[in-house]
Amino acid sequence: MEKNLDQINETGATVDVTTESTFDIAEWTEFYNADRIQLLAIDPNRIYAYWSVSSRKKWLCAQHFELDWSVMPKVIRIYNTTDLFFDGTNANHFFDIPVGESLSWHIHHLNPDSTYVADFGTYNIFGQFIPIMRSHAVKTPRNAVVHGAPIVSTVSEVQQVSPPDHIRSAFFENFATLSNYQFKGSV
Amino acid sequence: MKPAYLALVLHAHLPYPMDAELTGQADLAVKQMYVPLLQKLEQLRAEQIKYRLTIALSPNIIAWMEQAKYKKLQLLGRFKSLQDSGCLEIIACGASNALLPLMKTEESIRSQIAIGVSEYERVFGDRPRGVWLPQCAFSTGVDRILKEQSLQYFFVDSHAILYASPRPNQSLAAPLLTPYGVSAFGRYNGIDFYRHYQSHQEHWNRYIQKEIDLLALQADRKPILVNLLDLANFVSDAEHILAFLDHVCRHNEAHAEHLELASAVDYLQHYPMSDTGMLAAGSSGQGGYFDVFLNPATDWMYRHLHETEEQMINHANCFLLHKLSKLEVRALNQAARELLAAQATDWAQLIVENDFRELAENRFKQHILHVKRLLEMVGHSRIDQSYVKKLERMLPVLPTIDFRVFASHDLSEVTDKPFLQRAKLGRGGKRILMLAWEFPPLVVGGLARAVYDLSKHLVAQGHDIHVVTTEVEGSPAYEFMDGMHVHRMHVLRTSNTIEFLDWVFQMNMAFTDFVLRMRSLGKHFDIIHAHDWLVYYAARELKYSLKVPLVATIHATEHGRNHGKIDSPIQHRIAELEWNLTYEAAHVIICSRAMEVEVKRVFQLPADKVSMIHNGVDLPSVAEDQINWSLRERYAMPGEKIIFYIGRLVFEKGIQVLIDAMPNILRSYSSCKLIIAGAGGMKDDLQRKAAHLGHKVLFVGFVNDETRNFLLRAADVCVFPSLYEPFGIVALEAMHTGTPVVVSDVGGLSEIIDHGKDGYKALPGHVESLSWHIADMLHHPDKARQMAALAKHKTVNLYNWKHIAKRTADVYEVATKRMNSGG
Repeated sequence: MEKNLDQINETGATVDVTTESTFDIAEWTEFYNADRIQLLAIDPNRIYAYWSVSSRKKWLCAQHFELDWSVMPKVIRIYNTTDLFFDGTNANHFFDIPVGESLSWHIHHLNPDSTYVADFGTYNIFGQFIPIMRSHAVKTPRNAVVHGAPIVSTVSEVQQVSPPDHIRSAFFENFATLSNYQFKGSV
Repeated sequence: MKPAYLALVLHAHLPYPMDAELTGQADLAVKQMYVPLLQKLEQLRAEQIKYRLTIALSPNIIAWMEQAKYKKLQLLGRFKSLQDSGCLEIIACGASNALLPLMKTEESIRSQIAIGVSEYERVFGDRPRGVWLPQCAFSTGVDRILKEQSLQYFFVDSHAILYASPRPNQSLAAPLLTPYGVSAFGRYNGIDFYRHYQSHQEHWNRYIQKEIDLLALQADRKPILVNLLDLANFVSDAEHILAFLDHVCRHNEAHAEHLELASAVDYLQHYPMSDTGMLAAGSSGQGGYFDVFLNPATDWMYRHLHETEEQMINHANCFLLHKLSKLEVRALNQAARELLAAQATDWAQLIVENDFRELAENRFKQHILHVKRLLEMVGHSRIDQSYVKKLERMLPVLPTIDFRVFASHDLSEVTDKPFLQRAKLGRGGKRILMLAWEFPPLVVGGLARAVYDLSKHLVAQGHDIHVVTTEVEGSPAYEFMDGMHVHRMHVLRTSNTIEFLDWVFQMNMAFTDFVLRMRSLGKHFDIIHAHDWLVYYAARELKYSLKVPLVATIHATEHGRNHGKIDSPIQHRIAELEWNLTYEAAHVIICSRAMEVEVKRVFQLPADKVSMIHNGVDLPSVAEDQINWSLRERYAMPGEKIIFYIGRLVFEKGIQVLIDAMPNILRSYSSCKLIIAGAGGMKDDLQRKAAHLGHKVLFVGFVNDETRNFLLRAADVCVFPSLYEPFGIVALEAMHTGTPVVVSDVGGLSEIIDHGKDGYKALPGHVESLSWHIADMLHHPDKARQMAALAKHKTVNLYNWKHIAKRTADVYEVATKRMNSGG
């Protein structure tokens, strides 16, 4: 980083900016050193998941499981949580994907218009899954005409003459405010 | 042919050029497409041809047209004058051509829209009514943010309407009002107007007639057909598209009774009411969803986008209320521009199309890198002015951008949490982080009560206390309780059961994460006070991360609980964690002489690292007449004396000895019964053991504080026959209520009771000894009362929490001094 900055200073404002991109962005994932697991709905049947584990958490896991991080089993568990108040134990169904050293996964064969949550975790010596971090929930798009759904009306805030600057979300959304990520358990 | 409206919506955008290749393309687009388009539209207006088109001008194209070299052409001013004359409806775009549904945060989506809207206001002088969502990409909630920006309508792909819930009555013939009150116009995919025109120029209208008639069948009003044209796709084909527009506009007047050109806003004035429905998520990309933008060739980008948007938001929140220098503001604003540029799907599209793959990848990386560097510079207050200037020159878009748009809407959600406020400390007060796995209302053993009482009295002495503990159903995640901050952590559960030790580990991860998050938001601590091995991992990690001294209280040891026998792997592990905790701690607190001997022996601790501070008792004193004695009937017959035990039902508490002693006691004093309160692993065994005694032994299970206090008081003798007892706080509580006690002569209990003076001490595990002493208490109520009075006096004077908290604070002081002196 420092070196790059120096180059810019020396050569002045006329430097060709393409020289900057020598920095390898793939290494940044490690550089962020953050605990993250994020889901993105790609289409009605697919979700993209990516994650990263901080060195702190790797170290803690290695201490507890008395195993080097590199040899610990790494797993993501995908829960279908459609129409549930999900508490971890009550998923409609779930399945595990051993992910090895990969830091992302394209998850296929999911249901449209369904909600999913993913955990990144490991197995203990008894084969029990131990979640290390949990994603927020994400909903896959609907891909069919709806039958028999109830009528909806506009939310009360927009029925006022002048709607407020900020409208609370009344329905499930695939994104959230930053504080929701930071203080509601998921990372 | 049924009459219908036709909304032709043009979208003008280009990836902002920073190199010769894209610059050439951009200039070509202006020369071949936008200048001739303007000329065409002006010519039609000059010929007094009535037409109405909609165009979305992206901030990139606005910035490109505002360049000095195009100044003479007055491009934007001419678009505006077309809008003023009613031929053109100009709508806003997102700040960059970004796919909103693939963003991580609401703040980021809001910024995209809000910046797009204010850019529109800057250029065109009034507020936009409609907005072009990049790639027509929509997911629930985007409409909420559009409404917040007072936008009235946007365009989506047809399936967003067709799959809406409930099923829309009018299909694509009319817009759908989303629940947040924004109108969504669905692109009509049935006919590609332009393509039809290409192949059937003269008979164009007739070809679409059938489609319109079909659409009209589903509508209770004049249907509107929406046709979207992305001008960027037609630059090489500009002549044809202009000819098409010319044709449509010229025929508009003649065919107005059939197919009338209109903008969405005209339609909404005509038909202000429409059905309400929830749109389906999707985009106008190939396949209708997001795989064109998020696929194995581009998936790596999203992680960096999300990380960078978070950093931007954090900085905006952090600097929102700061007084900043001009240069700092410039750097932050440029960081916002660079982030928006990175968010554009232009790069993902170019990568997928493979023509400019390397260029696109480099551009994306550069923008991300620029944000990162700018934010670092601002964070370290070392801004390189020439660097900022250079970036401003390379990416001169959105001249009036304000980085504060990225701030979280409700800052109180982020930084204003009550527990983040500066602590009000008394003289010599410290900011103390208590780590305890159990805390009221979760009371499993004596630990919860001891931590609660200690914390309460530390607060009274001017300290700031944050207790981090585990969640309890029915209790809030955060609570300000008796002057202390209580944070109850959620521990992730899953579909399978989890081993206890692994659960403990998960709990520690949750503790660590939370405290570090508080730290990152500016919350400092002076000392960490950990209680027992269950919080070891967090205690150690936080000691090193926060760089503050660690004090540990050992409430009990695994050796003691198992009579010095450590056999199973779990016991070994727990013993190891206890050893580690005492090793990492700067100072260790234990609660009795017996424990002091034990920890020094088991953990090999030097004498100057251990302090004995016994626990105290702190019960509300209830006046005699306020006790509802009628409750006693629920537990015993009138005249029947009560022998009471309360505590966990585990082996080390010796309840089995007490049950074995009951026949002897009953032989000696028949009108009495044993009440056992509490829960634990041995419950079934004990009940089986006591079965032959019938109603003389009553298990009441776990009791709440109120019942507990009543039973302690109502009992004629309280018995604590422990085989191992580090302290025995419950015996103190019994003494405090004025009930005579019989304890076993072990650990902390033997230090509390003066045998024969303020209670009896029976030989531990000795049935005859225990039964004799209990029977003696029952036979001699006067002597028992005398002993109880002395015992109460002792608790009030000796086991006083005020005194205990003071001594604990002294230990904190010692630990801090030792750390500061490098010890």
